[in-house]
Amino acid sequence: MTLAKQLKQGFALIVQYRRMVLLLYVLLVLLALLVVLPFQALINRVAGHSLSLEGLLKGWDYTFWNDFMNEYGAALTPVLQLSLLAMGVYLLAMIFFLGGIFSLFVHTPSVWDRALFWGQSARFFGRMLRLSIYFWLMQAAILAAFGALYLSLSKGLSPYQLDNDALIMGNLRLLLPFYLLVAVIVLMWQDYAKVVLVAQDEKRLYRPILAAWRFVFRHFAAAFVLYITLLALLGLLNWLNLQWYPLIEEKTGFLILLSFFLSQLVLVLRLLLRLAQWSTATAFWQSKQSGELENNA
Amino acid sequence: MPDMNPLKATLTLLLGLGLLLGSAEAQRDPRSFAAPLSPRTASYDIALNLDTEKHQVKATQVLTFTNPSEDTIWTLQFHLYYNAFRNNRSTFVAEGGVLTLSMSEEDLEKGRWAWIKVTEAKDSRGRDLSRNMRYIRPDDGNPNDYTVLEIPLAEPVLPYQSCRLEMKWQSQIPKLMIRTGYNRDFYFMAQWFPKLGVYEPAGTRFAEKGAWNCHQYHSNTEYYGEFGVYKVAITAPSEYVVGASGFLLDQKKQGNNTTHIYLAEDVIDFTWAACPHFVEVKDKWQGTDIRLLIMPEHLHQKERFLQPAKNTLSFFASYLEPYPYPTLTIVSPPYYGLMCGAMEYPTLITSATLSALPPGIRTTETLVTHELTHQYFMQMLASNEQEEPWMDEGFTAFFEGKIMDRYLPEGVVAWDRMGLHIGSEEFRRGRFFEAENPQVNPLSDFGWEFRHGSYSPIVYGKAAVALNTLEGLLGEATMQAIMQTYFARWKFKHPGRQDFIDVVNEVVQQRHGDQFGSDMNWFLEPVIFGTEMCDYSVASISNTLMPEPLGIFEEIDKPLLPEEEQPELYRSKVVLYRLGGLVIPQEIKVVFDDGEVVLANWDGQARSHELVYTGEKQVLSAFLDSDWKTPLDKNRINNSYTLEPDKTGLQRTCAALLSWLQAAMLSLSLLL
Repeated sequence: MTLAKQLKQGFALIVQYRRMVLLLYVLLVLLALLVVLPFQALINRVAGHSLSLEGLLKGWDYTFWNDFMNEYGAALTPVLQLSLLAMGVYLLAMIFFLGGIFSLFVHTPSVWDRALFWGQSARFFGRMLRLSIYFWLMQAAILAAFGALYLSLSKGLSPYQLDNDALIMGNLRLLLPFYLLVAVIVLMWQDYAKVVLVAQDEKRLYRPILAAWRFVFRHFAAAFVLYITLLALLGLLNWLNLQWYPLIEEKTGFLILLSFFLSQLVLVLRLLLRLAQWSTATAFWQSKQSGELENNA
Repeated sequence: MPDMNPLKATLTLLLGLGLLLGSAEAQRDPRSFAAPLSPRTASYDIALNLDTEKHQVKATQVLTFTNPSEDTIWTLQFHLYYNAFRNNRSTFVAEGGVLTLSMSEEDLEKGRWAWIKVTEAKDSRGRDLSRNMRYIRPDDGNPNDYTVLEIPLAEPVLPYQSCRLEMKWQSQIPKLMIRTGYNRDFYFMAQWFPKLGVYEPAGTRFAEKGAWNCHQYHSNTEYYGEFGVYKVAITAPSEYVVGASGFLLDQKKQGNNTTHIYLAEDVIDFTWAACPHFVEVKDKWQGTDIRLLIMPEHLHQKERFLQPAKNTLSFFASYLEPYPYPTLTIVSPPYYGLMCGAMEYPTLITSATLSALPPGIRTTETLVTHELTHQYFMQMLASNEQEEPWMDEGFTAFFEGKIMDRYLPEGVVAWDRMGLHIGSEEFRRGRFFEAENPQVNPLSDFGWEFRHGSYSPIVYGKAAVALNTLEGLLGEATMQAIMQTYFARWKFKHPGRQDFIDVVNEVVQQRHGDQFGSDMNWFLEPVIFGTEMCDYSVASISNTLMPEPLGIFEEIDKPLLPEEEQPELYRSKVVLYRLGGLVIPQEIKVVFDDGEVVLANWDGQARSHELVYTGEKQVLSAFLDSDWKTPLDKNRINNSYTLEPDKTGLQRTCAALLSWLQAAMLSLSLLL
């Protein structure tokens, strides 16, 4: 199966289950609103009648925020806590939905199957949570190892030890590609572990983890190209976002709305690309499995 | 000896004298000042050897001191700042507590402490003065502090007479920790020699009678010096590139070493730096040679030093007076010398940079501007940083903001993509108000009395914001006139705060008469000697419909009855509060619903004040200090009130926050 075909198949699955995309996007909006609405109410309460609000139109108004934090900063603490809570809830919710998302991609019902989605989400939640934790620990260990290596090469960034501050960036440039490579491979492995977990409905997690590792190892080139292509698309999207963002001077309600809709479009595309990583991985895994079965037969 | 005609002898003598003077004139470096700029009270001739193996200096020093007073002076007092690093109980370490940061375990175990020792002191008649010299602790009596040395003289220095003192001394250079020392092969030699204190005649600053002003070394402050001429011969290994105060007179190679002879005239101190890796970049601004000593890895950042230096010199040339010295040396230390990366000494400054410092973060530019401004405030206007640090750092911070905002209007932190632009002055104000306790010290405290992290926010921040406020009240032209008068009157002298206050009052009286009262002490005294904050607010606006007049009134024959075509009259009230303790007169811009703008004034004295208007118009908004003349007001948000707020900016912020939060959540999902 060619790369283009894999991508096409992956995106076709997402389009097929667009209600799922809508659900995930609505979740994203609602959780963000959970933070933004109290924040807006707070600003309205303490500065709602102040002409200094107009300064916010120019972007980041240092003096406004500085005075705000000095005078009313304590009131912002619950909002900050709420934002952390919202992120935690989002993470947990996404872990919950993983079972449903992968079940749709694995079983590919012809239409959106609500029962399958919710049922499998609940069914796999515990295992997906554990699987995520295992891989987070793995990612943390990799980050710590590269961090330690970086600090060791950069002599702890100590002005008393380091020869030359160019090494701070130089070592980072040297190590970062390797770190990203390893981290991406682990992320890819994690995605295939989820595919195997749902497809084979394994109770013991080490089996899908090992099976996914074997799969990634055996089909590394194709799997990696697929994964990195989607990451590159994500990078391209973020780059484009950074390009257009400063072009719109958000000085009027219309331009603010336009900019907001464009931001939301980018977010939806980012969500689609994340889902595409999962759907293409599932399709790729299934194509290889069916190929092996045919060979065995 | 042949007999000689007296006329011939006289002519020969005159000719000889003429030749001698002519040759002396011919020897005078063209960069040397034709006439002294300063009183040249204490001049030094120093010859030193730098031992880069032991990190030691051995030197001979000849001091010529002229008594600036009518007093008879029996002792000389010297700063021996390197003794602050002699043990971990010195006043410097007790206050700063940072010494062991720079010392390795090995240094501590082997007792490698820094020190400076005067091994010989003789007067002009060769009498040994070292036997009676002793350490004194004028500030805190700390017996473990050895940073001030007093040398009794065999014969006193009579009023306005000079004395000469020959010294030999040796020092162990400290590991670079703050301001001075070495790390590896980089040497930054500040406060490195026995430096005479300042003899203050009666009437100078706080001195009621003539006395030495020679403080111990404190962690917050260091400067107060007497003007003089420094001729310094620095002998160092030939591979070392040396930079120093003043200009290079001569260079002589002897074996593996090179002696660099520098001359610095009319300065209060002398500093030098050496490192074998320095790359020298030369530039010029009008008559001043700019020499940048920079590490090879930072060379691509050179314009970040040179351009702000030229901007600052141009600014002061038009604002005050041109920089008079023939040279300016900028030292950009290596990363392992970063601890001295923001220092100012006469005609030599340091400014740090990093290879990957983003262009939108103007740290290097700010440091160059700030440290170069010190050539005016601390160097030429030689105030006492130890006793009145705000007159040094505060004035410098004020001008730093002015210069940075003029030449880099996009801000000291500038990130276009995010709409982030923070101006220098607003950044300084922000850092002052976000201090944990901006009221912990008045500006008038001595440098070492600032505790609990209050030094920087108050000495730099409050002083700069207060000077900005003074400028806001008086206008830019008057502020410039004040600074010009202050500089012209006190350059190459030792001004104190009262001297500045006197200049302010004099210039304001000349330019504005009694517009601001009989003097400006109502503003200056609480700002300098007090700790109160300034905060004014518009508490509320109300527009109450007035009932039409009904009933029996004087001079009207019959009772007034309800009329259908009566215009509606409103009683509009704006309530203002003074929430802070500091009193500053306020200007209020009141806008009515028909677009009319009325400016009202309030003396700001009472805790609350009302503005009442009666008419057919309603008040729409009120704005205290709308032109932001009073940056000392700690809360701009409550300075205004409007009944019809424009929430577009808030909508933009909330929309952006919503998108950022969503983006953050989506990024988290990459971990799943």
